[in-house]
Amino acid sequence: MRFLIKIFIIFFLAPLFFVPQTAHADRYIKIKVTGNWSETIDKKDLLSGAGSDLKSTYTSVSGQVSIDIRGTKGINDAWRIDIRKVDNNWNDNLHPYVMRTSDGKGGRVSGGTSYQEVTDINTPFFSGSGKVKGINVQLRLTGPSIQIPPSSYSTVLYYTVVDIQ
Amino acid sequence: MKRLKFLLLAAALALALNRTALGADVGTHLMTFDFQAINEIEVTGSPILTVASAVAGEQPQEATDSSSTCAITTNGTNKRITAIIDTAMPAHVTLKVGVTAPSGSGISQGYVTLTTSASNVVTGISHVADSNPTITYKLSATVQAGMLSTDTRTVTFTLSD
Repeated sequence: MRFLIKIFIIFFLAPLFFVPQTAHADRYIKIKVTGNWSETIDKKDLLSGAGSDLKSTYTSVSGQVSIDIRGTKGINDAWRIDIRKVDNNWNDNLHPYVMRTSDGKGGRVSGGTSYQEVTDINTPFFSGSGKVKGINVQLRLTGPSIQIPPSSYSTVLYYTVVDIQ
Repeated sequence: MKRLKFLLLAAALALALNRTALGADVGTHLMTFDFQAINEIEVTGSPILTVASAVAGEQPQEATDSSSTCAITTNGTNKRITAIIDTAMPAHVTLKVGVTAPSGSGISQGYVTLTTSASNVVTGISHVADSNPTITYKLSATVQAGMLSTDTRTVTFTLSD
């Protein structure tokens, strides 16, 4: 009996963890995120020269980031995009925000049209259905001040597309 | 046989979990903010000081002016403000300067005699933006200075490490 169980594990159970990922990967919804955002903050960003603090809010152009959704099974194949950040070198006084500024072309998109803070925890951003290309996202940073020591701060925003059907 | 049923159930569960995991794809982008060092100081005021009176039997009275201010912004730590004059003062004449510390940061060194070498007037300044520190000048002379014609000095303030 033990021999049969071993055979079962080796030839049937174990491959289940590996084979399907390759065989069916193309059947699931894919996301493509294009664009980064970088800013240099220096004395030109002082509100009114010496004696004043830095601007506290920085906003990117409207289409700083573009998102494509593909691999859906049709116009009604629903999905949701969750967002979170993973910090490289970051300062807790800095707060990144995202806002969807266009619907893109193709399927349906809804939500995410007001600024939403990105935290370390995955949070729903917007949702939609079907294949969509060119969903624009605007980015915002709040919190800069002269209390933040000179350095290069960076964080990575993770957009996870979740198939909700 | 029970064990085999359990394994089959586990296999089904593994398949289901795999499907869930496969349903999520991830895209990323980077946000980078390069905060440069900021050390800005701006001085306003062109004070005129005249030593012109004395009490009999005493040295001439000191002239004081507090009409100047400086504005400071730094995102650094432990900065200092130094002051220097472009040309030495005449013999027996002394020009002093005192700068109040920015709000919440720094230590004023009180009234410091200005020379052609930089002198600390405020030290220990960190992460501050203040446009109100007051600059006070004091001009004094002894009778040995004699009568002097009007003269000017340029005082340069520097915010540095």
